[in-house]
Formats: sequence, C-alpha cells, structure tokens
Amino acid sequence: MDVRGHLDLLLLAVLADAGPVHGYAVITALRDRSDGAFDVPEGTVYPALHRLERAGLVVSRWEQAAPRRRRVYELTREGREARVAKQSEWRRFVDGVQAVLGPAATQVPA
Amino acid sequence: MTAPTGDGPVEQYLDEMFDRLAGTGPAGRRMLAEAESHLLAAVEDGRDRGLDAEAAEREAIARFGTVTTVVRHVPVATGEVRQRLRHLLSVVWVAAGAVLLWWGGSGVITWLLSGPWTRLLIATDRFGAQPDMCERPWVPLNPAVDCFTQYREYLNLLPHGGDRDTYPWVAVGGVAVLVAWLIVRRVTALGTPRMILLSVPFGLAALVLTTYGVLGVFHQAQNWALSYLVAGLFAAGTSVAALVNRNAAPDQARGGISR
Repeated sequence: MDVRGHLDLLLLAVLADAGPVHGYAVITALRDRSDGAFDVPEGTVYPALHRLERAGLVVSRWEQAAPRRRRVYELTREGREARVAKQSEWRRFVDGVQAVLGPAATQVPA
Repeated sequence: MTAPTGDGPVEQYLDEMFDRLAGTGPAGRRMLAEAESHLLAAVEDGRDRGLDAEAAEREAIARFGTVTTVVRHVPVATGEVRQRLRHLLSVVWVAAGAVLLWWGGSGVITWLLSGPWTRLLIATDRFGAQPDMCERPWVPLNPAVDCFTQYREYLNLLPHGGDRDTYPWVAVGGVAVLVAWLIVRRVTALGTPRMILLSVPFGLAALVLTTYGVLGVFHQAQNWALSYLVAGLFAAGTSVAALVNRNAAPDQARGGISR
C-alpha cells in the first residue's frame, strides 16, 4: 500500500506511542502495526525522520546501545501537537470519504 | 555483533550508497551511518530466524530499498552546492588570470630576449641566408630599417605570433585578475581551487612547448625556437608554482562524504 503523503503522520503516531526509539524499531513497529500493509522501502523512512527533525517535530541523538551505536528519535512538544492536528485532519478526511462512499463501502465483497 | 562480510552484499550496498551520497554533506553521512546500523540489525534478525548470512544480508537489502530509491530522498546540502559553485568560480578565475599572465608574460620576456637571440642567429647564420648576412653585400628590403631590426622582426614572439604591443597589457591584465582574486578570497568565502587543476594542464603545455623549442635550438634554431622555449619554461614555472601551493589550500571544496 502506498503511504506517500501519510508517512509523516504514521511516523509521528509510532513515535508518540513508542517513546524514544531507534529507527529500526520505528520501521518494525510500522510494519507490525499495519500487519505488513505498509510495505515501504525501509531506507526511505530515515530521510522522512530527518525531515521531521528539520521541521522541529522530532529530536534525535546517538545512543551507544549494545551491540552497536544507534540513533534514537523522540517527539518534541511541537511534534506531539502536530500528531494530534494531523490525526484530526486524517479523521475528517476518512469521515468525508466514508460519507461519499456510503454504507456499502464498509461491506466486504463476497 | 554481526558485521557484514568484507565483500558481502551489505558491504557492497554500503559502498555504492557511499558513492551515491557524494555532495549530500552531513545528511549523507548520517544516512550512511543509520543505513549501516539498520542493515546490521536486520541481518541479525534474519539470522535469528534461521537464514544463513548471505540470505539474511540479501533480505535486509531488499527490504531497505534500492540505493537509488533511498538516496533520492536525501537532500543535497545547500552548503555543498554553494561551495561547489564557489570552487568552480575560483578555478575559472585563477585559470583566467594564470593564462593571461602566461601569454602576456611569455610575449614580454621573448621580446626582451629577442635582441641577443637575433644577434646570435645573425652571427651563426641561423636564418639560413649567408654568414655575416648583415655585412655587405646585404641589401635591405626596407632601406629605412637596419639589418638587425629587420631580422628581429622575423622572430615569433609566441608560438603563433601576435602583436607584441598587446603582450604587456595582457600580462598586466593577468596580474590584475590574480590580485583581484586574492583580495576577494580574503574578504569572502570564495575558497581556493585545487591547484592540481592548474598544475597539470600547464605542466603538459610546458612539456610540449619546451620540447619543441629545444628541438628548434639544436636542429636549426628557427626564428620560433625562442618563443617556444620561453612559453614552455613559463608554463613549467606556473605548473611548479601551482604544485608547490597545492597544500596551501585548507579550504578546498570537498564533494564527497567521509566514512
């Protein structure tokens, strides 16, 4: 499933729930929580995290955890606020789409 | 700790990524470090699931994405672009000054040496007319010009000739361009070009011109030999000067990232 345009929200959501966590764990959580639906090239998640950091929504630091050094990411206050705002925006979008499609759209085709 | 084998897929992948991240600066260095950390962790997971090392590395790479896919998300550092442009400007600026100075300076020096050179050619019959050709019965083509002056005019000031009156001005222009570069470099972040970019072409030119000039001297000492010798030696001096100063450029532009 193509998550372009939604990756920022997904990453903010994972970081909000997982707390300070390294990139590999973010990607694993993204894959596990979506039951593998979000099959993005894992390498593209790091530039997205860097972009969120440049926007001030995420901070990161190197952490020397066995067996290797890893960069740990954490939401800032602005990041938490952005997550809430983006989630609300997403909810309105989903509700709007749902309203247009109608009740039949929720039924799983036989 | 599971480390990639020296020539394994992960190591090859990281090598390619290193090359492709050139010009991305700190963002590229960070991307490379995180890619290595991520891939090692993924390989470990694969080994824990029973994959052999080769298969685990290949799976980790497949899930990470192709180098092209990943690298195109890493922005080129603005500072790197500016630094490259400054470096390019600096190279063109210094090269222009050096070429003007070389061309004009060679012409001026050749003209200064042309007097004794002409007398030598006349004395040794190197113009190929006759011995003591300024003695009687020499008949000047232009009675208003003495023999020495006329033969001096036969000399080429530079390999392809030219109007000697312009050479001093060209040389002064070259000096002015170089002085202006030195001043601008001191007050701005213009940077110093890699002097090897000047040293190599001037060195090659010196080799060709000097060889041609030396052949002329020993062969027949034609009227062009002096100009080739001077231009070649001037180019050699420029090349050596650039080579000596190549380490005096602490702010060279560096396009790559370091690992």
